[in-house]
Amino acid sequence: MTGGASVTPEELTAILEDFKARADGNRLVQKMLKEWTRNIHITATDLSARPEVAGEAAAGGRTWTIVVDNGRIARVAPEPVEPRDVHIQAPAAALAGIFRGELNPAREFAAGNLKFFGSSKDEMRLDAVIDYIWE
Amino acid sequence: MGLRRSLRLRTLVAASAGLALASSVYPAAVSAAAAAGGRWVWLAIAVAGAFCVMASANFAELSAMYPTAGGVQVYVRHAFGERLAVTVSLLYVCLAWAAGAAEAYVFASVLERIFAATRLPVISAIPVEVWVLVVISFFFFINLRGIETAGRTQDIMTYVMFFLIFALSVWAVAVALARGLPLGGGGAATAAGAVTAAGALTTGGAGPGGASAATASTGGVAGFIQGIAYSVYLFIGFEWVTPLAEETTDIKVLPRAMPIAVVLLALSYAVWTTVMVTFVPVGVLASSPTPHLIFGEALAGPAGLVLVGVISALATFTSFNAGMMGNSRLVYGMAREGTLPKALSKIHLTYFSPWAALTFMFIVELLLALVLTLTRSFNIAILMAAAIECVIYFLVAVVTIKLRRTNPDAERPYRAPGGWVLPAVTAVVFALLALAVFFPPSPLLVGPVFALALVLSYLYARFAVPWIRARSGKASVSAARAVPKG
Repeated sequence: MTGGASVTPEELTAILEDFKARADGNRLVQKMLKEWTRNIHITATDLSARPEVAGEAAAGGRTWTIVVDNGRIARVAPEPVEPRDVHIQAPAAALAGIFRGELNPAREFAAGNLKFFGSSKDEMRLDAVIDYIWE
Repeated sequence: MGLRRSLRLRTLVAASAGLALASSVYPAAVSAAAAAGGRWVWLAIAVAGAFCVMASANFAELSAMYPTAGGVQVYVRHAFGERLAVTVSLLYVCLAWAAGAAEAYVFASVLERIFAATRLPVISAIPVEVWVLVVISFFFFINLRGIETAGRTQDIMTYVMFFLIFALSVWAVAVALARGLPLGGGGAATAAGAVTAAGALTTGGAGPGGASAATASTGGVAGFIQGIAYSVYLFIGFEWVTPLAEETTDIKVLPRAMPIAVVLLALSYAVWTTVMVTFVPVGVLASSPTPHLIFGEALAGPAGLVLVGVISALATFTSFNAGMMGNSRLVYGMAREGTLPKALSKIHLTYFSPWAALTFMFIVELLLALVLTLTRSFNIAILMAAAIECVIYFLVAVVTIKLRRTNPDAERPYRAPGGWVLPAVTAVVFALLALAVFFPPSPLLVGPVFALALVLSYLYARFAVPWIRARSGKASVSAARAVPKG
């Protein structure tokens, strides 16, 4: 899977923020996000959920939300933002690798390391966004 | 809220059975009848169904262990590594091409016959080759537009089909009893049916078993075993529901859903096939790609023809549409993970459908379907699909055994009953059934074509995949070079 190096919540936050910045600066990705509004939950299954954060324990681990609002990534929230439209679950190292462009999400998915919950169209769109950012 | 764990038993049964309910099952069922003998076809179908229920227990155990949308290739990868997993995925692609091409050809033949019977001006003169093009193009474009059949619609269509098949079968049994026809006897075609069948001989080809009017009803133990092997085609696709394991309301729903779907399919096919061969001789049915229409017309005249045509259209719509969508996603996923060329992972930026994978599947299926149309040998495609499915069921049983040995302490929320016996028996049975598909009366080409698909898939996994991976690895390293590490 991922090489096994541990990733802290702070590192993962920074990686997701960097991903947002790259998406903001990519015209093709902006086109792909057009008219899209979704709360995308990203859960690191090997990082403990915080009991004080509502909904995190149910999500299965430490959770971030990429908030996509009408065609642009509005923010990366360090907690679950409701309502959840899409949910991605994976170990923190796999998530870090995927959002840094070092790991192939499809390969992690095929290997059973990454789980995706959402419509197949959302899956395609998100996969394409990740692919185009690192292409 | 919550996208998780939303699928219930009813939807899973519909999804499992929906893919298997197709128009191309009818010629396959008639081939089973031709091989096993009309009076015993119900038993051949029931036995094949029982074997598929056993196979479903293996799928259920593995999908509960690895509840991921990756499905079979994930199980095989854990047990035997990536090379075999890629080979299996490619075999699934071959299966999709074979079954898809056969389905398109059979459904095009259905349209051709209905339009010819209803004598619609202009439309009735269009040849089957054009209908093949129309049918495949139609499903290509709705998939390209990303139009999906909603879950509830799929449920309704599947259960409506079951209802219509059962209702028509019960009515046919009542009519047969009233007319004093022996069930499964197959010697009492009506004049209308006989005339239609005679027409079919000139437009259709021999059925999957290669039977003709002169050679139908092989019978005997060997014929019965072959009838079981052909009947496996009737259940193709029931296991494609396993990628939905992670979305079920309870992990134990899937182990119940698959056997229920298989039993429903077995019941409907067994009764339907028996009444088909009650009204029309097996040999006449086996000479046509649309035996169900011949039966419908023999039972109730033009109204029966149209009613069965509607059932056939529903079946094609649910199975072909879901099949093309699922298989294009499989090809897309393989391209994304680097086992197929990267060019096949292109996505339509408006509809977010995998247009490159869809186009690839469309072109290959179109070519295959046209070959089947020109050669009238859709039987080879059907038998290829049956053989591949038998091999996959065999392999999944072996994977179950292997993982129990190598990973005995892994959490298994569901365990196939009967200890080692069930997976071992399943493996042996499906290995033998795969072999049975290759022997006469199957066409001689089935074995070589299957062997070619298997060898090419393995060679591709062995040599091409590492090369593609090496190329994509270089690309991703250069892309990630300037990335901050957190």
